[in-house]
Amino acid sequence: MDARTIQTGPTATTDHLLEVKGLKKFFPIHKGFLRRVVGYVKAVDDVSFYVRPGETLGLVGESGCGKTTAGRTILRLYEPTGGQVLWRSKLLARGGAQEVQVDLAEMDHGQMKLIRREIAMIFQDPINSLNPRMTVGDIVAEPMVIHGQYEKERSEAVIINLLQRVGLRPDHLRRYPHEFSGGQRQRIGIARALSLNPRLVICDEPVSALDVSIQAQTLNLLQDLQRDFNLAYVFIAHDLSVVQHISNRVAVMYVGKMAEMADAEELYMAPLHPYTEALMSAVPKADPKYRSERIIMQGDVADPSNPPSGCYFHPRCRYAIERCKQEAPAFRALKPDHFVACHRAEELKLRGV
Amino acid sequence: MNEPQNDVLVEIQDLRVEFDVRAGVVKAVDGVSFTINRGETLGVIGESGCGKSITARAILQMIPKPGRIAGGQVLYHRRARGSNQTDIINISKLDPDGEIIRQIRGGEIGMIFQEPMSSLTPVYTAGIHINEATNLHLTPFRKVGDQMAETVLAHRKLSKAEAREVAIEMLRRVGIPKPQERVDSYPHQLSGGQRQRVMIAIALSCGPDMLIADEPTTALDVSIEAQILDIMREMQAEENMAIMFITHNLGVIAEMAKEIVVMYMGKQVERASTIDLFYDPKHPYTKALLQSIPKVGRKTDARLASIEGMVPDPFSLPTGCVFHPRCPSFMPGKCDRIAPTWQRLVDDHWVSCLLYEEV
Repeated sequence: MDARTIQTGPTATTDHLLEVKGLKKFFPIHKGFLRRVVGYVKAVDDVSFYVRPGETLGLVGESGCGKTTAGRTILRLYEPTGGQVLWRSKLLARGGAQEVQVDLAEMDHGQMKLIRREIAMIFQDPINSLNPRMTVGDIVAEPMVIHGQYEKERSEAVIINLLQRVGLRPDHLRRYPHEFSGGQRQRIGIARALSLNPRLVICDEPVSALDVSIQAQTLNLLQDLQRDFNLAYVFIAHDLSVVQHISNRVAVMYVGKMAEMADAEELYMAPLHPYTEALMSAVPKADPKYRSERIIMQGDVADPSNPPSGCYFHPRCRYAIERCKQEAPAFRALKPDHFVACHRAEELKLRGV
Repeated sequence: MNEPQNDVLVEIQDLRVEFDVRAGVVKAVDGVSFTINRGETLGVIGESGCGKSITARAILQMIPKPGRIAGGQVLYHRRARGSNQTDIINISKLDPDGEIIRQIRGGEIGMIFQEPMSSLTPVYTAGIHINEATNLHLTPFRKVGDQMAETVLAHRKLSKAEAREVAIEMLRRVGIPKPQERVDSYPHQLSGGQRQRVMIAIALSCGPDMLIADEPTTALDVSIEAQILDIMREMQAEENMAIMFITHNLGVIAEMAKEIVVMYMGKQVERASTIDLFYDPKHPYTKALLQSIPKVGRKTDARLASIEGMVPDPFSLPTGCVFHPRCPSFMPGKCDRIAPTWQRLVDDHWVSCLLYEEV
């Protein structure tokens, strides 16, 4: 294990439900008639973070930063190129043990299927993630059927209970997805994700496609469900105000790498990474009297197939020094629970929102 | 402020747009009136399906079939560059395929859409896209910038080399790096932010008097959004251009607009200056919208105030006030019976709510 993995305290690892260590996912670039591999898109490049039981970790960053890929690689929807995904599994525990820590990157197909009962996923697009030819009841029941958990009488009651829990009516059971509004469809997706009693739900932009009033309802629902079922969330989103609202801790990604991870309030109020500072300053505030001194980041996000040298953010960073061009910064703990990948994190005085 | 008052550019009066579909008639826009002044930004906010985009399209006679303007009018105060003479054109009476509307559309009133990828042709380069607009509209009547004016006045059409210069100049102005090279890039070679800049360059290449921006930054990241909003403000200041800014993002609208119209189910429910609307909202719907967004900065464990229920079915609208089934200030016997009227509270603060009416 290299020096860039998270240096956690001695007791810290024990309470982590999910611990991602040095996760990598590279997509090959093929070229020419022979489809030779000429390079890699380093979508996720040495990413480390952890999630505690019952908490929400927000994962933010600009589009193309690898946050969705990271979420999918955890569940092995993409095969990881490297790194560990440590998960405290209950279903794989043997011999009277409550839980066992396993590396998801090494699980075989059968073991992974069990894990997928423990980790569920909610997708961004509530229209395309529901099969238009299945009724709501069948959609919510499908995970139970696939995992052999479906028993007609009992499961039907579970499904009705779930639908009510997410704010739908039992008579919606026999209807089709097109009969619902966007917000209701997202609720169906949430009910489906919860049908196997997961402990972690990876939410990939769950409210981005929704209107503000429906977004508020959905966020409230996710919070209620978290409390009632003791769920942990990895909440992937690009809307920084939504992420702050729902997250206990927030991780910021930039071009496949972690930039910063900290308690939500601390990250927003006292960021340590210049990229976090610039992102925060760009958030439009719903206050016409507020005139922000915006930090306009020059240029576009770096190309993950051909990233700049040293710190990937240095061409856009207004604090960059010579060292940043040459040496990649380590993702290190500067304070308890506050990690940052910046050479100048100690000396810089950055402003929050 | 000494700027001339009532320098009206577009006046919308009691606009009604209906869609005749098999299941019945949908009143997509139902009695909307507002004015847009030269050089100012009017924000239109509301949730999806509230009719904000259709209102914008009605201004350009671009309502998709089977929609039609069922009533009201859109008056465009047309003025040639540099002159003070104003012709009033009733756009709603124009033939949607006629000569005049085609001069206005894209030439005098530009439009940018939400999705830059599907608004650009994959087989055209950025330069060709911009030149398509300039070739259509750059006649002696219109001009790009002062340095181009003579050329444009001398010839009715630009030569190829000049057109390319115009395209490069426009790309430079919207902040695309290396415009001489980017002018030959195809849309797929540009990033999302760059594509949206090309859209803006197209819309602004003919020096329009008004820009209709329909959710121009919704598909973009905050950092790129900040850049695009800055560019729009700069261009507006340079050209004294009016902007009709449609969005559901209250943060963006607070920064961009001078005045805001709030729409719900095809009706305007409130109109006020941006400051008044954010600090002293009157309509329960506006209040609820403002409370339902998470505010960045202070962390609270409080739940978000959400609006109960959902947007009603457009085929069976509630009686009385359309918002009454979701309204926290619902007055039984009144709101479900009487439709509120559009009335002025103070100065430029208008609202449509029975709380402010004697009935």
